[in-house]
Amino acid sequence: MSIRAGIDLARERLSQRATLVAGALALSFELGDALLERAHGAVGAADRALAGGSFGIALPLLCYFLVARACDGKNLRDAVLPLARHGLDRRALTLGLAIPTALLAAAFAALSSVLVVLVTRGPGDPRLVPDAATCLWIGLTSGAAYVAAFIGASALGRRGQGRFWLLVADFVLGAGDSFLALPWPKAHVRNLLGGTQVLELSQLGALFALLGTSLAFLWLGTLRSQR
Amino acid sequence: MRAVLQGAALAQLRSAELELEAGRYVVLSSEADALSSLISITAGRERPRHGLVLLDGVAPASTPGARRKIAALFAEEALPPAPTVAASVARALAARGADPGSARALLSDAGLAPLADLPERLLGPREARSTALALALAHDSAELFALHEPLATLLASSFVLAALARHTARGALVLSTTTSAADANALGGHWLCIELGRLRALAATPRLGAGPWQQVLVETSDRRKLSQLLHESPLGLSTELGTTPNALKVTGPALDVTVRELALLARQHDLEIQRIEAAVPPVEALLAARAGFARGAYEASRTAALGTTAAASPALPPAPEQRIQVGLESPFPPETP
Repeated sequence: MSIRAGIDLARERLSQRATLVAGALALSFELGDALLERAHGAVGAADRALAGGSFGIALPLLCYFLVARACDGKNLRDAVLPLARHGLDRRALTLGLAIPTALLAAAFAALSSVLVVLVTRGPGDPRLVPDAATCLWIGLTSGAAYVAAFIGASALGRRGQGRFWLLVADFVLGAGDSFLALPWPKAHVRNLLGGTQVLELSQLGALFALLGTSLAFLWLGTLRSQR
Repeated sequence: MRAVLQGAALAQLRSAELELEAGRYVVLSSEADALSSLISITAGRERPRHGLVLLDGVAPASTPGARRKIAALFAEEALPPAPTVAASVARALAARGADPGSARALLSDAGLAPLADLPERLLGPREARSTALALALAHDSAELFALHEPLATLLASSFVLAALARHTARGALVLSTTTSAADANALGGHWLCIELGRLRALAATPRLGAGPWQQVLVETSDRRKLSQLLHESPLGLSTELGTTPNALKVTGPALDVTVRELALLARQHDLEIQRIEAAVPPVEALLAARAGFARGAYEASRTAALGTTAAASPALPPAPEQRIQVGLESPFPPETP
């Protein structure tokens, strides 16, 4: 009951024109960046566009926006208050809130990254299909992971400023490959895309680290907002 | 329902010490933020920064089952998001376990039918609070009503007061907070007061002293006789003539005590009470009362230091059925020579 109510809560908040506009802007940015990278040089254009504009900038910003919308710009506790006050469990509501948001972000990340590969490689490239397939699962995973992390971080701060600090830390600390980069999704997404490794983790290790840290953020957030 | 607050603090509310049983209580204070915080922690919206809030032994902030028994109205309201207000109310009713189909009837009963088809996100703060109050008042299984400024919404005061009377009669605990003395008078029940962020309601706390904020205007067939009877009363009531031939202004230790005594004397001596109402105090009187609180504390400590009790005001006998009393001293304590 509470999870279902949380899903409805998020669906209602996300089904606004602003969500569509944000998605369109993010997609335009990714495709524009992909065209620029291809114009700069076809060799390595897909890698640069995916690790830079697509997964490096557009995806975190879009996930931040989606979570802020799902939380109505508030703290996680206040975000579920309209239903939690009537006796529904806050933790279940939070999980419900995360589900449609994560699905939307994952779908966007998968679709946009496939389009970026298509633009940078061109239809005739033999690497198009394998790269698109790889991007598909990395997009699905990283979109959901970013949303889980941002929702968990929304439990911090009176107005959920924790998600903003997570975004900043992800951009600043996640860009490195030291121990400091370990908790942030950006570092592991880069590893999955074939970029520099954090603490020399394998791609499987990066996948587990990405899912583990993001779910840890979500778990800590639900713990903090109590039942 | 038994509500216990032990040193509960949040934001401007520095400490709340309360033990409330079923009944009606109104907290009057000029400190709106503290009042809002009191409702937030009592209704389980937020955890207190310090101290404890327990409803029947459990913390509402971390117990969904306890929140299900609470109907609340906060200073800032947010309804469940939905395409229309009626759909939003239906969603809240479903969350509560009530019939979502009764949403339109609920709004209609509260006089909010024109809002039903409006988009929920277009509601202003006052309209959102009104809808939330309508939802709260329709919660027939709630055991605690925690309401911030319940008479400052679009709902008719008569509707709100009638609903509160109904819930009080079935054994619910109604805790209202307000910054308006007139609203506090209308809400009735036991008065509590927040002073400098502190709320303390213990059996030994003195009543709000006599003054213009505790005046009752009464019209009777024989005001001379009633005045004489009141002067003979052991409760220390004083009277003065009103502006009309039948009117009498009665000043006592607390509104409920004065009115009860008036009703008792009128019945015993077969006097007709034609009209009775609480006098709304002017702002200056309330400010004087606030000043008197500090003055009273000073005088009490000075008296204790001098080792004499002769100068102290005589204590009024508390009404036996009133457990919670107002925490203000007399605003005009006698001057110590």
